[in-house]
Amino acid sequence: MEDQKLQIALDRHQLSHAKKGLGFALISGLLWAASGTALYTASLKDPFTQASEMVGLIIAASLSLAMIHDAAASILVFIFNAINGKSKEFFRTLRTRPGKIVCLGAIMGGPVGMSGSLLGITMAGSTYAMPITATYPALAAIFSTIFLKEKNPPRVWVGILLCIAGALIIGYTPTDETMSPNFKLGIALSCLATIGWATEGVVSTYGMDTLDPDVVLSIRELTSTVVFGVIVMPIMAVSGIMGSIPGWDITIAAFKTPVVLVAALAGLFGGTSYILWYRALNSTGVARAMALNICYALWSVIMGVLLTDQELTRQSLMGAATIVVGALLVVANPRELFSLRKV
Amino acid sequence: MSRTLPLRLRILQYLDEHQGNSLSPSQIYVALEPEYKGEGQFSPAKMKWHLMCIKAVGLIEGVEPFWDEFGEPSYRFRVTEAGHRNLAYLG
Repeated sequence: MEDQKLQIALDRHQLSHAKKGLGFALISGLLWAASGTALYTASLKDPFTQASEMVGLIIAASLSLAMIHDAAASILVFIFNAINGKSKEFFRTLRTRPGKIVCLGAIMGGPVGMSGSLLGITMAGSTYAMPITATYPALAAIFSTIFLKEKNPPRVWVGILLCIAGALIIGYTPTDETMSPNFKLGIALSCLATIGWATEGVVSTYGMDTLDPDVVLSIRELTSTVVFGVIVMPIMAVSGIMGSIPGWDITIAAFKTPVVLVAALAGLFGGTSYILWYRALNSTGVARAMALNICYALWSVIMGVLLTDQELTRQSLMGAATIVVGALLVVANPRELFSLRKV
Repeated sequence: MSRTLPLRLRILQYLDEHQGNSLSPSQIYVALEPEYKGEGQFSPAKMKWHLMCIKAVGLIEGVEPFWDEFGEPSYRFRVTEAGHRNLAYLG
């Protein structure tokens, strides 16, 4: 009798741990939508304005925004960790092999994923590029099943696919644009971005098996910011992709206007979203965390209707409903989270 | 003098050093206190959270359930074969 009582109490304890992880993933999606809304607002103002038809300016502005976003997130996460007594852990972690593996994940997710996605949209058009990059949770789920031996029952797979389908329905915009000469390269770069994001999820989760997620995230954001500023932007400028406009000029110009505050606010939302997402990757596994994170498409619809003059269309309603069903399937049995892998 | 490891990696290493024995969260906490004392990430409650996270990914397992000194349900923990293997690579 006493044993049974103890087992029930332990189950309840583990269930609360699992539910916390699922909650982290859901809220991370909400904050990611808030970050996206703030980034979009910033992108409409000088010096980020994308009103120009010049491709180089669009890329320079987007990369510059991405770097400011990651830098702000990096500062936020570092302060968060200092407050929580994890400053020493940051340097300890960097010296270890899993810490270095995490740096590789950061490069895959930040500079490779983000640059690939932005260039893909610019060269192939969002109608073709976005559906490709939106499949990253499915690819991550495949990677996590193969490399991390994650246990994902068929119900979770269906849920992941429905979440992706919902995001695609919400984001789909038909186009009659003619294909650009760099169309194939744009498609290839979108595929690279998808692989980059999926790899980041799996590699970081592997690192977090033995490292604190908050510290791992701090390394991720710092690595991403440095690689953006020191490698990606100069390479883009030298290669001529950004025309004669080096990304640094836009970044410096942004710091002279209040728009940098909007970009930084996006970084704060994004940083908080990432804190929760990394915790979720660690406690719910890659597949579930990614499926729930992509629910940001649903939150974006809600925020668009409540905070802006965006209308609720039949298309976005259908997409939102699909995401809700998918998310419910993903979270349906938190007991599965007691043991995430076949080891 | 050896460098201090990140806490979760050290927990796994400590359990690996005691292979065959299962240890309670408070036993691990007391053993690692000299290395991590005063750090915000290191408290009896957070030790349980760290252990639950490492357990979920299969590097350690929970055995011999018991009621701890705070009246909370708990496991004793020991390293798994996967944990031992990973540590050999990561440590």
